[in-house]
Amino acid sequence: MGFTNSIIQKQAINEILKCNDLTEHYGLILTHSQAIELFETRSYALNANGRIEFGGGIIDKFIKIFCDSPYLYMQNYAGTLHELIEIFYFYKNETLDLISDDDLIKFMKSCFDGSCQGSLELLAARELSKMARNLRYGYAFDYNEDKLDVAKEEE
Amino acid sequence: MENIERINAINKRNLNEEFYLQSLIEEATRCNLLSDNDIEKIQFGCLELLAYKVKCYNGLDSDSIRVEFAENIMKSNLYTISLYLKSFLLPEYAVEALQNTTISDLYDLGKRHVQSKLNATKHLHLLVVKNKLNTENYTYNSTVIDGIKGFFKLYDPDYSAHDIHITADYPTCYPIKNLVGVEFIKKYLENIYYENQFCSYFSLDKIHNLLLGYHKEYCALVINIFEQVFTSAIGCILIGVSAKTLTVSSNQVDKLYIELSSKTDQQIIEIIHKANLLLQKELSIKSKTLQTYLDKCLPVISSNICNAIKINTLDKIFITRHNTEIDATFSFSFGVKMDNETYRNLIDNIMQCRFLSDKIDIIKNNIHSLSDFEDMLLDSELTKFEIMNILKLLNTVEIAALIKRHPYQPDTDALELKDNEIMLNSCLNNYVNLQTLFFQNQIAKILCCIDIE
Repeated sequence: MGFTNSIIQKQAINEILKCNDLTEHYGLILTHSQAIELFETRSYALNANGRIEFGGGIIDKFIKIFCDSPYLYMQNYAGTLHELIEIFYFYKNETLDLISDDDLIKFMKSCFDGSCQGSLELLAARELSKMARNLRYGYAFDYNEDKLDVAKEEE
Repeated sequence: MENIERINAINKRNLNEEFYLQSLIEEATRCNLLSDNDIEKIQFGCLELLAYKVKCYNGLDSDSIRVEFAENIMKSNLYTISLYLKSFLLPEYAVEALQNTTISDLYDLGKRHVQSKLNATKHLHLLVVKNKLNTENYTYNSTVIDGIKGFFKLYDPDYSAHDIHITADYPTCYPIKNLVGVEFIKKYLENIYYENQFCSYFSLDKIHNLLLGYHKEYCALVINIFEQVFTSAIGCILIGVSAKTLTVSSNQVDKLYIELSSKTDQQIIEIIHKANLLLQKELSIKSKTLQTYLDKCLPVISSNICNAIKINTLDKIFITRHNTEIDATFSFSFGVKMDNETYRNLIDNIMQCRFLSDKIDIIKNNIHSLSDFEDMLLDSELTKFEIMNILKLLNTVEIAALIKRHPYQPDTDALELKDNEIMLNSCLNNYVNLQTLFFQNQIAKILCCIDIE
């Protein structure tokens, strides 16, 4: 089984490194050792959140979607990806798997670039927490009670 | 040459019915029927199948899944494959299938088996509904009808084929071991079907009275009805009366105890075995499957009887049938109330009296029904002492009738009742507690059979 794991790891790391072709236009590059660390973070996050994943995982999806963010630059690129991966698996559980991988990553991106202005703390503690609560209570994931109140007051 | 038997490498007894595939691999490895390569191939196949099923489960939306869900899907896959492998006559053939067929193909074949077993179980349930015992036992009705319906509604052969989702609370006489999923429900319904079939040889009234003898509230108990009927029928055969009567008196139980207590366990088992054959003959049981089921249940009955003889509790095994006539209830009427105007004047008069003796006089002379008496106790603002003394005017049945209408429930009274009602309840309770034990027993007996109109 160790043999299989190492093949899967090599494949995943190659896929991460392949993303450099796309991200170098934005001045973002991952080294081989950084790719390995990202893979390890994914394994750690999966384990910590009691999840199991088949296939390459979501690292390359994160890279492809987040590479054009104005808040990412070479110095914080790898660190942000580590944090995003951990946050992602935590909120997969918190949302009771009610949201797909792609939708969750897109939502994270829009909040990261928008209301959070690049803050991972705001993303995790405010936006994603609110979104998870909405899903658990049966609302749309972008439902906003405050906006509704303001709209009612204006009327 | 008549006793030629094939020597099998795998001992069937070492195979676990619940985790068949896992135990088969273990045994096959022990007997060198599977190589390391074969095992690795099987493991790969199982992981590939799991990955595919997880993708289907997530609807292609998500690559990851919670570990407990993945474990559940894995168990379901292994159970489905096991169901196919169990269909082979010999475990060696199943091992060959494991070697020569891919896991996903084995899974597909297993799924067909699950589906056919599910269809058979649905048919069996229809038969059970048809020959269902007409009893008021709650567990029986809720499990055999509603519970099994719930199973068909919730059963998910794709992702939790091994799970029955219901609890099947009603116990069968012959316990089902090491079976899960649709296999368990099929076996359970088979057992219930045979038990119903056996009970249908006896009249429903006799079964009802027998169970009343077991416990007055048998409807609320989790007991196996067939076991009681079968045991009682065996008892009837042992004492030499018709099994259909299901009647064993306490004298006959005493005689049986004297007779059996001098025998060894083995001798008792033989006696019961013979009684079972006589019972089948008397009831003209022709069905081979029912006969087999009775034979399978016999050790349970024998062991109960042997244990009861050892601890001198045979009367708890051979239940004395309940006589319904003893249980006749009687209705009690509180009588007609006086008109409102007269009642109002009466209460005013009572409240204006200074002495208890005057109040008692007014009550004696003016109140002629228990309903007015009850209203007076509540409305005339009497003290506890006065109520206790006024209650002395009533006889035992009237006190019991009042208690029936105002039961003493210290926990709920404070929330649900008014102050005067709480005081009356408490006074009634105190009044009875102050009486003799004989009076208290009489009240208890009357409360059991009184019915307030």
